[in-house]
Amino acid sequence: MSPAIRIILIVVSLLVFLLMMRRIRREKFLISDAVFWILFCAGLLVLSIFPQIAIFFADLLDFYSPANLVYVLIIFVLLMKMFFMALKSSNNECKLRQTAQTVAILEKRLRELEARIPENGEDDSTRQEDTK
Amino acid sequence: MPHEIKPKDKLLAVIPAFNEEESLKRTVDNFIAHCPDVGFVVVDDGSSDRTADICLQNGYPLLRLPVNLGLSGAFQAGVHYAKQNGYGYVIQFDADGQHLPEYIPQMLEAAKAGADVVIGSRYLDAAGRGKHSLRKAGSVLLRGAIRLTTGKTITDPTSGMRLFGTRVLDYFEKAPNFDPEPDMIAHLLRNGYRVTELPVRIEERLAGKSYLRFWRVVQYMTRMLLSILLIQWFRKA
Repeated sequence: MSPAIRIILIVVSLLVFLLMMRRIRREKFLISDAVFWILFCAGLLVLSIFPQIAIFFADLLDFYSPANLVYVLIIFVLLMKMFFMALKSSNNECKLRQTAQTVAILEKRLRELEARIPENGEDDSTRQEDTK
Repeated sequence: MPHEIKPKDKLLAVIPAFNEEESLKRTVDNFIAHCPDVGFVVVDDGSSDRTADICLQNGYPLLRLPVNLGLSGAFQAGVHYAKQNGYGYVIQFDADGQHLPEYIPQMLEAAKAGADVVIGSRYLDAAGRGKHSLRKAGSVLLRGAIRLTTGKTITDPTSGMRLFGTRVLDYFEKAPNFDPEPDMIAHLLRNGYRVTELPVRIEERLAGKSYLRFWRVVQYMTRMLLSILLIQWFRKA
């Protein structure tokens, strides 16, 4: 692996690591989701600091250059990550649907119950609450 | 609730509405006039216009989704509501006035005679045959895909006027992520549900055929064909 690629890898993985740490602290990033990115950055750092690892495996697997091995590895890991994120997003969509539907059904019941209470009967208090 | 009909008749019309303030009242009043003994519920799919207000003012039963879920999600909400309130049949009814309530009693009869899904088909009688449109071309393609994979002919797989019987509603409860789309029809056919069609007339909607619309049709067709021809094989019954 050429020194240029190593330096770029080290700098980039350090930068990404710092950026992520800051974001994780500031935003509502679930720790369980952050774990992947921390490990991913750590892996990049290790590979850039100790290129011997990449060289060893590139030799073993007959890669043209260690850099290629690193690229293939990164692409594969990110592809898998993307697939699982798509799965999760699909899952979330289902949950969102179910939640919204339940809310709608409960809101109807609540509206009807409130209409039956005499004090609330005249003024339509449900409507004010819902419309922002 | 003046229009609330308890499930004695057991059919609930689910009317998904997204920003339909212009046609909703006309559609629903027309529906009530033709089918006074059929229950209905309007599902406001997170509209930003007066759709919900119109329902409240007129006393229409209303499910109000807090966010926009799209047609499938809105219809699903209606199905859950129907199941919770003991309805045995659900029909999907468009808020824009395309579907004519005159056909509902016939469709219900067909369902009570043993069909699990009754589709209002535009292409069963002679009137609908002559017309050529992008939509019809799509229907022909989907029809072929369904025949290829199930051996059954559905003349109008994209018709939005579908009535579902108790067995299918039970199935929908267990599979919360169904979409009431042609691929679902194919899936039901393959799993031994009986699907019948009745000829109906559907009012044409005056929609501009913009570029964007064309791409949406292509996307839809790709999704449906992939689903019917490929994904179905991996689906659980």
